[in-house]
Amino acid sequence: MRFVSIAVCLALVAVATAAEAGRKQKQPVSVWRNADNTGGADGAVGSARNSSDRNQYMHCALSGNVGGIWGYCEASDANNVFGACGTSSPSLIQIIGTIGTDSTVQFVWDANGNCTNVLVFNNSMSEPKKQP
Amino acid sequence: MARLASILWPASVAAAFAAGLLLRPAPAPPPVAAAPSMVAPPLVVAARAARGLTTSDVRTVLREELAGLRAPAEAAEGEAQPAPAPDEAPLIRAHETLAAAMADGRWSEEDAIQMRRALATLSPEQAREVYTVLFPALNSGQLRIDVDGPPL
Repeated sequence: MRFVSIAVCLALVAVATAAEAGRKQKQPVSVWRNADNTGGADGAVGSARNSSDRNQYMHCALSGNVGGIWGYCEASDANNVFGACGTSSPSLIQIIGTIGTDSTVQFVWDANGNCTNVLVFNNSMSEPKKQP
Repeated sequence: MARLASILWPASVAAAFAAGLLLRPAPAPPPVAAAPSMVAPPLVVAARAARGLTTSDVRTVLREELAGLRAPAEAAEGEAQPAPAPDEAPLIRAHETLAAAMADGRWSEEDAIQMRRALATLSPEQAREVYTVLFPALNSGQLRIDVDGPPL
C-alpha cells in the first residue's frame, strides 16, 4: 500500500513537471541613468504588466502623418526610475514596429533624448500578460 | 442724245455692279461649335473673325487673357493666408506647454494631455524639436513627473 502511494506521488510530480516544461523567464523593467544623462531601459512587456507594484511599465509608440513617422519609448521600473527617448530613424522605427504584447524590449538613449539603439525579443521565454 | 443715253445707261449699270462687288461686306464668320472650354465664346469668335491671325496667335491671346484673370485671384488668396502657417500651431503649443512645465519644474497630467494632442500632429522634425528638450529634462529629473503612468 505504501509502495502504491509513493508511486502515485512520483507520477503526479512527473506530470506537473511536464506541464511546466519549456524555459520561462521573468524580466522586470530595469532603468539605468548615467551621469552624462545617457541611459537605457529593458524589460518584458508581460513582466511589467504582471508585476505586483504599480510603477513598472514598458511603453513604446509610433506617430505618423503625411510628413513622416517618428516614435518614442518610455519605461519605469519598480522604484519609479524613469527613462525615455524618441526617434525618427527609419531603422529604429521599423524595429519599434515589431514590438508585440509579449515582447522583451531594450532601448538606449543619448544625452539629448534620442534613441540610439532599440532591441526587441520575440521569443518563447518572455512572460505573457496574465488576465486582467 | 438718244444714242448717248443708250451708251451711258449700260455703262452706269456696269459701274454700279462693279462698285457693289468691291464694296460688299466681308462674309459672316461660320458659327463656332461650343467647345468644352473655360474660354468665353465671344472671345473665340472675335479672334477667328480677325483676318491674318494664326492658331498660334489665338493661343497667345488666350493665354494672356487667362493670365490676367488669374493674377488678381491669386493675389487675393495670398493675402487671405493666416500667419503663422497652420502646421506651425501645434508646434508652438507644444513649446508653450514645455516652457510652462520647465518653469514649474514638474510635468503634470494636464501637460501630458496637451503634449499628446500637439505631438499627434507634428512632423518628425517638429517632434524632435520637442522631445530633445522634454526627454532629457524628464530623464535627468529636471522635470519631476507628476503623472500616474507614462508622461507621454
